[in-house]
Amino acid sequence: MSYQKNILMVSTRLAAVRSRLPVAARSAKFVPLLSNRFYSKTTPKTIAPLFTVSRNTPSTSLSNVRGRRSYINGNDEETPEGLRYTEEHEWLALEDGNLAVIGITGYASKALGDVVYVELPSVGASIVAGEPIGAVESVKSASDIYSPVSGEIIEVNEQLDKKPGLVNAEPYRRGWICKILIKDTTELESMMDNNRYQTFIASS
Amino acid sequence: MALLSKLPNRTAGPSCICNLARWSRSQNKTINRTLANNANSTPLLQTPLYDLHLAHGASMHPFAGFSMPITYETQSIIESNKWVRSQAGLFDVSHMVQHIFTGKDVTAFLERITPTDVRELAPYTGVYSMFLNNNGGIVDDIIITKHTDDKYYIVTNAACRAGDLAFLQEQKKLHGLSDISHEILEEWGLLALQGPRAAEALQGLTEFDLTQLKFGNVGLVPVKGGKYWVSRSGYTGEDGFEISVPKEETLGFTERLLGESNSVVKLAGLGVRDALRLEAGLCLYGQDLDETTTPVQASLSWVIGKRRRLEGGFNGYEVIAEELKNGTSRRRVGFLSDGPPAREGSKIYEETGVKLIGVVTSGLPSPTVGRNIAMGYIEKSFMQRGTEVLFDIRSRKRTGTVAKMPFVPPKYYR
Repeated sequence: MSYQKNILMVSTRLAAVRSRLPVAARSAKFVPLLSNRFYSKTTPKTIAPLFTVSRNTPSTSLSNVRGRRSYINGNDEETPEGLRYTEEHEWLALEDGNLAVIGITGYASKALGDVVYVELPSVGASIVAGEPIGAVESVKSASDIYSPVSGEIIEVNEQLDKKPGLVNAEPYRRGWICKILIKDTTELESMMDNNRYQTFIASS
Repeated sequence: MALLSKLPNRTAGPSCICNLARWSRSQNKTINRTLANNANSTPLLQTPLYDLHLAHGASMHPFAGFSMPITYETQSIIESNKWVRSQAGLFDVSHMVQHIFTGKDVTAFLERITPTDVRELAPYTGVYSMFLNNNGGIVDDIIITKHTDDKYYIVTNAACRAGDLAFLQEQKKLHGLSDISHEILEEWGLLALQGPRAAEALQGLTEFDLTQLKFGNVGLVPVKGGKYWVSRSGYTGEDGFEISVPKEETLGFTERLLGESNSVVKLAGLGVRDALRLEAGLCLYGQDLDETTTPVQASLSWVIGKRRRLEGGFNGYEVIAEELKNGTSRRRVGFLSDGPPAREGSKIYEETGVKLIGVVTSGLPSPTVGRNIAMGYIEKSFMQRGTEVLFDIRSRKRTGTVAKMPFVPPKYYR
């Protein structure tokens, strides 16, 4: 494929994606990067609906976690309420008493640029809070993902193997990294809420 | 997540030096100033396009003492890479150091400190070269352009500024050459216009027939606003130009280039520049080259002129001649891999994973190739193309293969 064609395709697809966004999001600065397009062997024929925002109240039962597409209500660009944040730019959503889903924040995914590879932890691995459990690679840098809590990895987002760009496009939805069974929920107390995280990124 | 940019961020040289003598006088002051301020509080220098970068939504980061654009909000690095390889990208490289050397002894001086056949270099022609120390180590990699036998224009790396100036002064003394005057073009900006549509974009602004300028040629090109030095060269592997423009005209010229070409030219940052140069197999000083590395080890022997190989007479000739004859223990080669990219500092093991055989000096996922590309130094017996190696990436061994460079074929205008 010629470069020319490729570029035309990019703008067409971005335009198509934009037209599906809610009006407010269309004017927002954030543009889904969809970097994985350049790395997948075949170009998807249809565009996944990126912003089918779930308006349901957050689920609290484990059985509903699988297959759920969003851990937030609202925009991917923002730092959503109801999540906990770390200074290393991970977010954590508590699914159940001690089941957590983690991912990297919209702010971080934007700063990284196009994510082209996500190194996921192994299911069953015991992890310690503050230790690296994986990494996110963009063209310009590799960044470790640190677990905010200790516990056991019970599921990883295997979709990221084929579509690492989801980390950019939907950091709080299909771009989640892994699920952790938390050992000690008091570790959550040191994490930030969205207001404190916003203040933190504004000052860093 | 640690949001650290992997772009090299070496300390800047002194910020206000116009010549070697002044540098020498200000050296003590500079050292004191550096000690007094930690690196973070030293104000960053700005290029003439600083405001333009901000207006275009640039993400600015410290680079060699300057605040430089890494990316612009309208394009990701991957999109910008595709743009430069299909259209034209404009890089602000005003942080780089532009020198003019004049005098009867300059040719002899340059033949002493570089392995280039400077004497036989045609007027108004530029070549890639390097300053060498007495051990044959590379002090900096540079472009030497001859205007006449007693006037040369040289571009050196911003991050090497202080080191280069000290080196030049010491070498001038050492070799007892007196008729050399040296000036740094502090009042000139430098732009790199790169890509298959670069010529078309620049041609729109001048009556000068750009087809006369082949790769490596330089000319004084009249454009609206003045006459600028234009060389057909670059750091991306694409056809393109480096344009030296007086500081006060840099902004106007840039706006005309961005505007009149009707979006063929887009600003491109240092982030994509790093990807483009690695795809083209080109070295970044401080990462791929340093003072302990010779041109032979760096697989840059082609820089050494034929006559120079026989006659010598340049710094480190004994070491380099020996290496040319008998080879070296390590060589710079390219690598291809899949999965997580091997980056600067990744150790390289032979395929059983036991023996350490080298280290990666630059590496990233290539937007053009669609695989991970890298360059690094490896023991000579493993440098054969196709050799399987293992990279240590976050304590896990990942396979890679020794591969031919450049990774993307060059499209120079010859």
